[in-house]
Amino acid sequence: MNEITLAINDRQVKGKEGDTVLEICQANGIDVPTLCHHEGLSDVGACRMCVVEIEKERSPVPACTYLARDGLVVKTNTEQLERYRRQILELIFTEHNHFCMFCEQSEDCELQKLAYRYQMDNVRYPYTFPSLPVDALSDYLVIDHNRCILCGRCIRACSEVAASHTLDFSQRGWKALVSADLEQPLGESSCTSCGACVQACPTGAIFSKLNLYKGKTDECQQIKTVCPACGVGCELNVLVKDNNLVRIEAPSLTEPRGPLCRMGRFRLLEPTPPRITSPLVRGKQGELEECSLDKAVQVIVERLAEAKDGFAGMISTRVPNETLSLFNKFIGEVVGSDSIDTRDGESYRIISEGIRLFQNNGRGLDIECPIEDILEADCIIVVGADPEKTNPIISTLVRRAVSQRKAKLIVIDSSRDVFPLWTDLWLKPRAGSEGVLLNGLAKILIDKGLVGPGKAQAELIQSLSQYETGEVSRTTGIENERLELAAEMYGWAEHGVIIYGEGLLQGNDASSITTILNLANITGNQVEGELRVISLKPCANSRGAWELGLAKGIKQDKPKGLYLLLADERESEELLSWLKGIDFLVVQTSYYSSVTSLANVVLPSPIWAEREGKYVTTDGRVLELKQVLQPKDGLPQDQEILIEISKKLGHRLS
Amino acid sequence: MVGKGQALNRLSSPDELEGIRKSIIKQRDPNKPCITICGGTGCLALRGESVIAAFKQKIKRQGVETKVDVRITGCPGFCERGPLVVIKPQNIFYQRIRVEDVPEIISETVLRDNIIDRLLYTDPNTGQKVIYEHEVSFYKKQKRLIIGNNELIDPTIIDDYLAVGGYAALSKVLFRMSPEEVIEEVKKSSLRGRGGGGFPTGIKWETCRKARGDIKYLICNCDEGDPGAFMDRSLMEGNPHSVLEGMIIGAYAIGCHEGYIYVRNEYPLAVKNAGIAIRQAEEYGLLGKDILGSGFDFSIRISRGGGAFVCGESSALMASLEGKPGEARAKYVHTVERGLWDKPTNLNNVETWANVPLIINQGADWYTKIGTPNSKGTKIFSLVGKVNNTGLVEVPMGITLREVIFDIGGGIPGGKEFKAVQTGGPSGGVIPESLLDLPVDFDELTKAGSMMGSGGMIVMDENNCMVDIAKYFLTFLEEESCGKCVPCREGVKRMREILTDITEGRGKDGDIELLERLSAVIIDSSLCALGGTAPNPVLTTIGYFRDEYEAHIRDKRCPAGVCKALISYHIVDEKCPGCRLCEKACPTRAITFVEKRKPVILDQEKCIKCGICYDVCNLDAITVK
Ligand SMILES: Cc1cc2nc3c(=O)[nH]c(=O)nc-3n(C[C@H](O)[C@H](O)[C@H](O)COP(=O)(O)O)c2cc1C
Ligand code: SF4
Ligand code: SF4
Ligand code: SF4
Ligand code: FES
Repeated sequence: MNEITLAINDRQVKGKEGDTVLEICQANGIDVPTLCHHEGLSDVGACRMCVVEIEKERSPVPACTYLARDGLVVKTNTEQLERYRRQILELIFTEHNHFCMFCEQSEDCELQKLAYRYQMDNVRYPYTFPSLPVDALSDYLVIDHNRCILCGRCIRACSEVAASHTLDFSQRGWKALVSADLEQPLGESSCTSCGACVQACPTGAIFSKLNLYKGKTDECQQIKTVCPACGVGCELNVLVKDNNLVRIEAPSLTEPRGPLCRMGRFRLLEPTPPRITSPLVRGKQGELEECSLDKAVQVIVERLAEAKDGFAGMISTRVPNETLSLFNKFIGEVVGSDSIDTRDGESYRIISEGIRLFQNNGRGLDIECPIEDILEADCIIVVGADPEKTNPIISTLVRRAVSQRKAKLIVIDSSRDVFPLWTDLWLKPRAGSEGVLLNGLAKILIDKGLVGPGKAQAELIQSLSQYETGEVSRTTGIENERLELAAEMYGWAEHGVIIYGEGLLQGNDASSITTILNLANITGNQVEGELRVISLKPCANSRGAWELGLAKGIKQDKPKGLYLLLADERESEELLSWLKGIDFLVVQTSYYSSVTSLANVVLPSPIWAEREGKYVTTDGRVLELKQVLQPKDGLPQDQEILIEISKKLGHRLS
Repeated sequence: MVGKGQALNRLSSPDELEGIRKSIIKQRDPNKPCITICGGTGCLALRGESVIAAFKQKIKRQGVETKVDVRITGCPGFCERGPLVVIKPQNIFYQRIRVEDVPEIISETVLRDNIIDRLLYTDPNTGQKVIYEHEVSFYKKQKRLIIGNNELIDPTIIDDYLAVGGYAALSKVLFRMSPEEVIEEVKKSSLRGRGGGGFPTGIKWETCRKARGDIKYLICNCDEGDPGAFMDRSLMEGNPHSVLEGMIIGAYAIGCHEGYIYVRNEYPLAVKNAGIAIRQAEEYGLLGKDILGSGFDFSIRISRGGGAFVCGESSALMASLEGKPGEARAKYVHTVERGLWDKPTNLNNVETWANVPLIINQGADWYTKIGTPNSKGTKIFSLVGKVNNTGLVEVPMGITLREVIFDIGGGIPGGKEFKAVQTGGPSGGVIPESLLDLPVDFDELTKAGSMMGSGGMIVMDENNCMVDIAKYFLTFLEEESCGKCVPCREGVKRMREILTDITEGRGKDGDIELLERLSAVIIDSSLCALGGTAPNPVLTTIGYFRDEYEAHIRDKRCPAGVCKALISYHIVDEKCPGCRLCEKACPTRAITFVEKRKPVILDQEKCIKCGICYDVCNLDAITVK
């Protein structure tokens, strides 16, 4: 990009060709007021606050949409411009209801700040105070149209960042209102509650119920950390006041892992079950009773000293690497058991077996591509996965590829179309026949010659010979034409990405995963040993735990004793039924739950915000989880408890 | 002769085009009587449809099909007098024709050359009957280069257009001129866009030709959102081929292969006729692939618009064409470089396109002889309001407002005083009596605070209140603002509210200044020209009629007697004989009869100022104060 020089307020400043005048002003510390502009969203020039004078232009132009050129002479602060800005503010202020006293956003409001800056001590028009509706039907979000200045930032965030395209203006002129899916209440619309609009809104018109009156930005400490809700690894900016969570924001709306989803932005703030605030042991009457850590450790130590045989360890993959490593040592060295697993170990064993079967490959999970690849895709296959449920940001990236790059989207799912508004083709195989379907696709690709040179090896061709299209069609219940269409969409794509997850892993069928890798391989969807395949792993640090070797598996059908480090993971039916019948159960967890009621000993555990350590994302990035809150009531960290027990047993762990 | 419904032969060279033209002309006898009936929307609305049917039926019944032709033509512009019928070759001009008149016209005028007196037009000023069309004062001072062909051709028959020399310009351009030469010619003609902005057309074409991009689009703007204007509709309905020909020439010059006609949905006849014209031109090989065997391809599609005023604005129009909401967008890159689907796009108005064949045929040198130094050619205006002859008038640039209003328009009806004329559509300005000798062109109108705009011309007399007029236009603009940018969305609304207050007696000192201050920010900082021009009606009325504003604000008085809250009706006792006409008409029984030969009494408490009594009184015995 060529460097350009322009004169702004009689000062020579430099910028790049293609920059807007506003960008150059901001980069050079020249303050130009804005309202409809938001970093990372496209500019529309709607509010006209940023108008500047440019030599040779007939009238003032908005800096946010005006492309800078070499030699421009710009004035940003003439008396006339300042007068215009104040007048525009006055018009905005009287348009709806900006009675700041009753506004959640007061003090955090861009409009209010500008009102102070332009000394809006009086207005020359009557206040309109229209009685506009307030939409509070969504779980997390509220739209109060009375505070809306119609800047359209939420709408652009919704389409450009969240790629949800839920919000738009309904009506025209001053009657315009932000509306969801043609005037649906937000809660009944296609809104995914990602909250990008909340963050984009300059005023108190869209806000979250979970942030309400908890604190103002200036009163908060802001800490950047990584989201513990899934393995995508989005960065969080957490606002904390008096050791309480106030709000979670995305540090940047535009980074692929930036915009955040309802899980990261809101669910982490939701009320939790009651916290475990002290160690508990089961007393004489069979009731859990509070006790000192020493006492609890004592009970465990006694039991372990009695019989280490048949004792196993299981850990949640929500905890960081440091805790995982220590737990690994604890079970191996201190307890002396090789029966250890993560909560999601089964998934790992299927995935890794699938990868191993693929050309006997030794790359392990590194064979998968980064999730950013989705944004480059021109064809995406989602098979046995529901990213909107498990990893909403993946779903956002898929929608972005579809809406911004016109990528083709194929969903393979035996029960439902997981992208109902976005799919080009939904293949609905009979339950359990996904593997046949995938092999069938591979065979069509080879038969049609839609494969890279030398990619389809004889061995593979041989193994696929049983997947005649007719046969595949009969088994899966999908017509030939649809199979062929899918194969062609994927085969012709230059950048095809396959995403699989939960649904496929539950089938316990490693060979399907091998087939997926084969599909990517034969079509040349490969760069430097990475195939364009992404597996959605169950937890925030699944990959970390798996790579540290914790997913070995529990050796016994039902261990006699189990040390379960559940941390702040919630209980599940499947876990509960498996835990039943275990003689001696130690649970280290943050919350009271049905699991704790099965336990012999319960130990406290900090929640995500109280921990720190390293996370490995689903695609192998190592990120830093920062401690944002002091542990409740000075509770110990997970490691401290493990070290304490080890000490008692004569081991020094570190 | 090839006509409606028949397949046409594809023409694959200029010679074949000339050949077919000759054969069409040869088949036509210029002396054969021809009844031309206006088939434009205006006349159809005045039951023209049944008049047309009656003519067809009667001619058949009387068995005179071979002796007389009937042609359903486009609109000649004098809609107010419709349905219009002209008998050729003499050009006998009949107006306000009803079905009952049809047999007589055929038997008397067509077959016996007798003039029917009662169907003739009476000049409002001289009181004399006029027989021939070219002698009607409404037409006399016009220069009907563009709209003139409307009445010669049936828009649904391409041969009619060929018979008047149609597509000769296209043929000339394709085979005898390079694209650069075409652009040069258009530049030399100084043609300026007729859609309002007056941007030089040749320069626009050149920029688009030079813009980077392999795909370029061309659009014809037939949105015509100005409620008072209908010249674009008339051209599109009445002579669609002239527009198509202009577009194809433009496409050749710029290097476009795909074009669109954006028509508002409320123009069904324009949509229909444009569609028929496209089909016929395609069949003749004048549109589509390999036009006239030249190797040049160009196709045109019709797109219907939702009809919002702002959709006529270039970027909003393109958004709407793309299926998005019709909102203006910030043009940091001009649409000529990045327009429809981000490709270089050349947009011109219907009338602009219709000028192109003329310029090519007659040459830029000829064309530049018409008009003023900065505005060449003619402009079609829609002349409406308090004027005797209303309708479409095409005049050379530089003609004075006085000539248009008094010579062509026949002056103000009812002996009232002329007060002002509003030009340029809803966001144009008002021009007072003192400027009546202003030569009409782009720059002069702008200098006077108004603009050429769409070519609307609304004449106002002493009974029009200028504050009320300003309020009327601002109400329209407030409704039409897309709402995207603050100054227009809220500013125009606030201006309208202040005007409402003034007209309803709530005006305050300082209101005029506030209006002026608001106008400045709206004009200077709105996103598109809708906001950028919206204050014009207010600024010009303040500028030329400030005293009227002051009367409303200070004296709570409406000098024109229009603003209801500020007027009252009174009985002039000396004049009222107690005839009871008003008493019977009053909807609220505010008028009481006393006895014969005594004046009635008007109860101000009950009066709702509807003005009905004022209208029914034949004796001027009611006044407005
Ligand atoms: C609010 C607004 C409405 C407009 N409406 C029309 C219209 O109805 N028809 C038209 O030709 N141009 C209209 N224009 C002007 C167009 O933006 C554009 O300048 C024009 O179509 C270009 O063609 P021309 O160069 O041939 O005049 C409008 C402009 C504005 C700002
Ligand atoms: S949105 Fe901003 S300006 Fe409006 S009431 Fe709330 S704090 Fe005040
Ligand atoms: S809700 Fe907020 S972001 Fe959306 S248009 Fe209104 S003020 Fe702007
Ligand atoms: S000036 Fe008016 S019509 Fe134009 S963009 Fe702004 S609000 Fe919309
Ligand atoms: S910030 Fe530039 S117009 Fe709103």
